[in-house]
Amino acid sequence: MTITAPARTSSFLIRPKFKQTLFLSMMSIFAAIWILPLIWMFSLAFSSNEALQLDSNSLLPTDPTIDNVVGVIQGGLTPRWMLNSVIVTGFTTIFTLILSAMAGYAFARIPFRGKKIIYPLVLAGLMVPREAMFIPLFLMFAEADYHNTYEALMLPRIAAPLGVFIMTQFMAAIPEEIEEAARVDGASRWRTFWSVMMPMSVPAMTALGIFTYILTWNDFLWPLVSATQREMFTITTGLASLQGNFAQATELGSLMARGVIASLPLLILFFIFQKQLVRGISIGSGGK
Amino acid sequence: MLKTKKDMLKLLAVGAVSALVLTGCATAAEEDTSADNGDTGSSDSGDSASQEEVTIELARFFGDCDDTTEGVTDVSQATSECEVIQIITNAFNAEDNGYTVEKLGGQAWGDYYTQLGTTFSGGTPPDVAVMHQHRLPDYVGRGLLTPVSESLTANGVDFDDYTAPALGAVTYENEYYGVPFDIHGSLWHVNVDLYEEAGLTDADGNPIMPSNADELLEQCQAVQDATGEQYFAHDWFEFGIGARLFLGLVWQQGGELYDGSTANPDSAEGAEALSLLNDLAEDCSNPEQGYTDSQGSFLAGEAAVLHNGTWVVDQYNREAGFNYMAMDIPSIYGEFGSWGDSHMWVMPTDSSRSAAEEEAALAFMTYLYERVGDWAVGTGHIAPRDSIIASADYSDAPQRDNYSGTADKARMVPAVAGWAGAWDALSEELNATWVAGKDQAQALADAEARMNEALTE
Amino acid sequence: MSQATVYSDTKPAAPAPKNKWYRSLKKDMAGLGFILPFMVIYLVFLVWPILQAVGLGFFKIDLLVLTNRTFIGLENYFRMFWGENMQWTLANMWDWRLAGLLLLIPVIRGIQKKSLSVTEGSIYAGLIVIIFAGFMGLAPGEGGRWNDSLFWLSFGNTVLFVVLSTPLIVGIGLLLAMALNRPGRWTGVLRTVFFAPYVLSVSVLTLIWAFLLNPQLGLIGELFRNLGIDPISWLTSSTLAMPAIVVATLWWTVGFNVVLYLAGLQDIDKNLYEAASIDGAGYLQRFRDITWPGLRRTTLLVMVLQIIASFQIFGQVFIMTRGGPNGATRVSIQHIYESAFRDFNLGYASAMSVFLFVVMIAFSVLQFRFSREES
Repeated sequence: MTITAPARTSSFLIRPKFKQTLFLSMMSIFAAIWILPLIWMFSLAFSSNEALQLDSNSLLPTDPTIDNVVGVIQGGLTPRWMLNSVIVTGFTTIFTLILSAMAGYAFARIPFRGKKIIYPLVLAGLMVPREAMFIPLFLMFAEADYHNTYEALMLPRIAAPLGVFIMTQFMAAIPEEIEEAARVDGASRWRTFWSVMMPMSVPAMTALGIFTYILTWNDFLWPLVSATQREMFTITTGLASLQGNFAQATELGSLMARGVIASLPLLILFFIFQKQLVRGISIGSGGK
Repeated sequence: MLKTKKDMLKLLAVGAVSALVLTGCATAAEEDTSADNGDTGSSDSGDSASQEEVTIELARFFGDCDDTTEGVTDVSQATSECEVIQIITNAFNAEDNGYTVEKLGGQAWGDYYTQLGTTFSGGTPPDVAVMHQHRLPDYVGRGLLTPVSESLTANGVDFDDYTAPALGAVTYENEYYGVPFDIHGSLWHVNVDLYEEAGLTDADGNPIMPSNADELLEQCQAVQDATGEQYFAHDWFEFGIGARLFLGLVWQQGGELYDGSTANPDSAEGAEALSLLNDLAEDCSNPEQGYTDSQGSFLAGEAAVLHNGTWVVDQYNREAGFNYMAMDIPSIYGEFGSWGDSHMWVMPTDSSRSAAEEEAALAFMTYLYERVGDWAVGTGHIAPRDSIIASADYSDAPQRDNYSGTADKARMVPAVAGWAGAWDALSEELNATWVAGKDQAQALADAEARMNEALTE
Repeated sequence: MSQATVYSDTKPAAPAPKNKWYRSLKKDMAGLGFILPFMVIYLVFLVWPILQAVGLGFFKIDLLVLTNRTFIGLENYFRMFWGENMQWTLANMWDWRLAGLLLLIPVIRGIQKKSLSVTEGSIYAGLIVIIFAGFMGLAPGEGGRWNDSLFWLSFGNTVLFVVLSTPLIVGIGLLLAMALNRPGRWTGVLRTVFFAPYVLSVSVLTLIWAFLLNPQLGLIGELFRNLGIDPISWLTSSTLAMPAIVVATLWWTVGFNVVLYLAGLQDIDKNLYEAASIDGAGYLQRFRDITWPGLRRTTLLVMVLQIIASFQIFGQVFIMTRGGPNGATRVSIQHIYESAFRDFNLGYASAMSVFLFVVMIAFSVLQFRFSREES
């Protein structure tokens, strides 16, 4: 036992290290393949349309140019669609955060009657296939003559049970004493919520905010049926509306440039906030 | 706690970034849609509106080509169907008439009618919309379109100048509901070089068209043996183009697809046409090709015949790198027979439309009536007006002599409520035979049942 | 908040009475006040549409003229579920039905183990028998046809998509999560790479993949040519189009499951693994005894979310193939969309939404029940 032990440990130390490196290199190759389509899009976006007619398979821009991107920003409706997306997504996120935090605070901290019935009802909403319910929503907004408005694009998205769930989970975990201290000082419930609980919940709210932002930005079916005027398209539906027309691929570079512009805000946001996003998803899954 | 502070900072940073993006976009969008501002203002400003620009909304398909036509008003610069209509619209906007036309649609035409439908139910239909003649009954039957017989006649539109099929297309219960813009049909787009290589040209160098099914299949063999290229190409499954050829072939045999009350594709003529189409798919074509692929292989010189519409004649005439000819669909069963339809401009009924806006819409429709010739010459479509057909510009346009049969004998698909759904059903059933090997007799029986269901819906 | 005014008639002064009833009322008011804004939106835009869909399913409603409504009872459902010359045969779809009947095993086991009450278990068992042994034996006989064959075609394709994509996206998500569940900067980078496509919108996804899969223009076609194989036209082949869409969806969404699984893996006690390796447990054994049971809750969540998401597939096929070729990728949401906006039939579209809703809820409930029984 005493003799064999050192030998075992040493082999135990060397081999895993080698295995580890080998494993990581294999994963890296796999990851490189994984990210290839994205790199390809960027490469095409910065290639000239003429060069792409001849060869569209380069992973580095052929005949590099920023004309496509500049052209998209300057002309056509793409900037307008971006603006629509920013407005709709921004307000949806803000309202979701406020409403979810308020409801989450009540569910986590205020022992009011009916809570035991209402909270499960809200959680049941997590199972509702929201995309599939677009027909009655469409009718509702049509009868109110409210299609092609920002409100129509935002309101159905704000009703997110997931946000309430995340905020309830998070606020329930904040130590009771902190809130008590504020209450003893004579702060009203609203003040306690606003100046104590909200700041304490920033990590959860950041995550929920990003998550809502991504989901709303990428919403497709609802904007497709509700916003039918070109000026009211979001970048997601707008980009989809262009794909049928450019089938000949003569403008491949411009088309990919729109794709780049449409995804850049989210990719940047994601790279800044990926830690928070990941944490948020874990909170949402009921973990730590 | 420090962590929270850091998060706060990040949040602030994002706020700042999005504010920047927002303002950047806002300025861009402002330039972009400055015409928008007149939109709401004009409806309530009444008589004084004549001083300002009256903005009306136009819904159309034909695609989106704003970028390439910005500021262009000379229609001779157009290189595609989309550019022709966009330039005509630009020209109208550039005129000093106090009207601005703002485009709503422009999406791929697969989406057009679904999106048009949502504008009606949302209570915000466009002021002018493009429509196929076979869709008219769906909308007029529901009281959704405004008759324009009197108002446009007063504007100087001479309805008598329209050809009979074109006028028939906009007529519903003795009223005109729009201005016809064209008649379009199917053509045989031919790569004459490949025909020549296969020895299928006459003394003048023109391709010899087959006059019966056997000749068609012999030509196919000859071309494929001599050139190694595919004989026949068309969109086999995307846009119902196979159903168009099917309809033409049924008509060529003296058969009918619709007898005035019911659809009857399940006939002897239908069976014959479907069997010929399957022979073509199997021996002379690639049924995995859709619209873009088939067009691509024809333009690349890899197919002797492309079955496609009149709308690409001028484009192919410019782009084809070989000796190109646009021909009538060959008469395989004796008579001439070929699918046709018509584009027209209509004015949806909208109680919230002001008098000034209605005036603007009618002015634009009148303008489109005047530019019918430019549309026909610029695209390859058949002009719907006698005076245009007689004009030198029209007859001098390339290729037009080669498909005069289509122009003279054009016949359109039935215009009856529910036709769009019925046509899709037919198309899907026919496609199933060459794409998935569905039994032909079963496909025709299913098509008949499904078509009639759609027509009674 | 305004709850103080409620009691102001009897006691105008600020200090509240030490009255239990008053205190609980105050809490009720505060609680309801805080949830009110959310609840209003939730009830109006999420709960009400569901009820409305059920109601609308009994009407014929014209999209173009919304006031054109006729009550038609169950006609919409009749159109969905019935056809001409319907016959019940034992052989119809026997493989799928047999697979469905296998669901009886966990139900019976549940009753035996008393994790399901006899009543509840019998209801499940009854429903399973009625649906799989009974209802699914119905099909149009010789010369007959479904009233709406497209409904079944698109539903079948949707189920096919769910069946193909769920195990793949969940399984690969788990594998990637286990591979990436180790400390280090580089693994962090790799995690980012695998998650990145998730933030793209569906139209960017289709933009990339429609061209990627294009035999002439795309990278995959180029790769095939370099290998000396004729490039395949994926999206125009009736057999390959659906698998191609599954792969694109996998690339797009697997990152989300990876993150969920990573969170689940973090929660597993590391000591368990050490104890197991001291006991000489192999990799597979450790997975079976520690990892998989430890991830049960996560797996349930991932599965439910994945199935709900997969049933609602629409954007990818709508943009890339329009449901083609020859209906091979036509899915339920597309059929609902087209019934409403092409055929103007909002009532029928609502009825189909209700059907889809019921199927999805049934899946979720079943999974919750079964997982509760297991743990």
